[in-house]
Amino acid sequence: MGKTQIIEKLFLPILTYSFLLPVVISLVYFNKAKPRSVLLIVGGYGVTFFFLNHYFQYLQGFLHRSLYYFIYTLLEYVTFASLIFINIKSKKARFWGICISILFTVFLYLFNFVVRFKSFDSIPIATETLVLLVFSIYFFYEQFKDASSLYIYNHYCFWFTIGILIYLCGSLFIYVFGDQLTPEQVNQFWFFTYVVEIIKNLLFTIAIIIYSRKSNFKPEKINIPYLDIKEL
Amino acid sequence: MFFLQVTTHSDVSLVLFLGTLGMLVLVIGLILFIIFHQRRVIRYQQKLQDLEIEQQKMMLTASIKLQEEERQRLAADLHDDAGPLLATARLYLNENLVNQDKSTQLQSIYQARQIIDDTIQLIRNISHSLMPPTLKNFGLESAVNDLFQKISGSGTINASSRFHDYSERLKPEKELVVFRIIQELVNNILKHSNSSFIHLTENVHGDKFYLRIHHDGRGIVQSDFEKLTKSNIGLGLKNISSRMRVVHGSINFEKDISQTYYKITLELPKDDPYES
Repeated sequence: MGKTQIIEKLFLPILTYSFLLPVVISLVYFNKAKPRSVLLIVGGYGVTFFFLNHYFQYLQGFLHRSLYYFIYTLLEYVTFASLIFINIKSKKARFWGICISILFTVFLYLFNFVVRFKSFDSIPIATETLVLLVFSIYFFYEQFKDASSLYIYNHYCFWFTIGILIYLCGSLFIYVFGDQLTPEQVNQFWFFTYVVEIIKNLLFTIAIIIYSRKSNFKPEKINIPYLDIKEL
Repeated sequence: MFFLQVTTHSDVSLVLFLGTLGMLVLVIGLILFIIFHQRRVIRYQQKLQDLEIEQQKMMLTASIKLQEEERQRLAADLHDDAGPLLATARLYLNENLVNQDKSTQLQSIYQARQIIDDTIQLIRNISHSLMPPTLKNFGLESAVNDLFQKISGSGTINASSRFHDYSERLKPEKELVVFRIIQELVNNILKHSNSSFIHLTENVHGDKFYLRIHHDGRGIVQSDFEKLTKSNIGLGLKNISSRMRVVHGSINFEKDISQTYYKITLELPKDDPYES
């Protein structure tokens, strides 16, 4: 095995265990951060995908390929969409987001169980990327409109969003061509998806730390003596 | 769809490489644009905020300074005029009066009374200049006519005023603010313009109330007014500017088309009719 192949083969275990990094950070800050919904989402995502990747071979044999990809893509989409949705304030946007999500779920189901795809669910992944790209751009647009917001990189959702964008956009073409690639090409290019996914998990960890610190922030007590005028 | 139809291995590699690179460049470009754009917007908002605070500070300083000047003038009037008069009256009414003959006593009492009358008139004048009773009792038209008559009476300048339609008075608070503005403008004209006439006209047009002051001396135009209100000098003009804002009005300084005289126009919204 060449050195490059060894390095590429190392990426998969690194990726698998990188899913646990946000989980560990979430547990560290679990008692301090409020509300805990974000920590629960990220923690659940990390644990689930750790098992999905760690037991990939076993699950591929245990579950039908279509079911495996359906669960994987759906869980990924639901996690990413909910992390962005929590921070979208417009009710109208949330309503349309939910409608699009329902349509996407139906489409995902139909593609995986009705259409016979060759080896990989490329089209649902491409659709997922486009939908989440739209949600991300809308989130940035809302942040621009909000005059009270400070620098955007101080907002935890910014780090979630760029993690999602880097992962989805960096791996889009590889996933889209997934069905057409030969096994040699898969070995050659697939490691790059691991790289962008590891970067995503690192950015998620940064987001959790920022989230926990912001929710933990208590303003300093102002020491003004109590003056009772009646006593003067 | 062209990219999805590649067949050769090198084509796929090239498309994958270029596609992935392009997407990453797009994402990183988007992120950098968002960060830098937002920083620029925040810096611009901060700058606007700082300018507003600076402007408010200047207005407040101007207001305080004018208040102090007014107090000093009042103190000077009372100290220099009323004080010596009352002291003189006291001299006439000293304890030695009982030792003097009746005619001398009567003369001293008469002179003391004269001085006290003069002092009463002086204090009345000071009080009227602070808050003219004509304004409160008879309204803006009477107070302005009164003011212009007194200026004309001094003989140095020809001052006249004409109210075309003031059947419905403005609210008392608004009348006071407008009167102060007119006082300040007239004082400025008398001090700086060296004009031979001042004429004030009043009109109502729709729901707007207009006051126009014309004079033939040295004046300023709107650009000069805006420059002076933003600078450290021109306290009176700053005061006028802030008073106009209080009544939701606007002021315009211009030179007439014929280039023979200057015109100052005050425009403010009309109130609901004043019920006395």
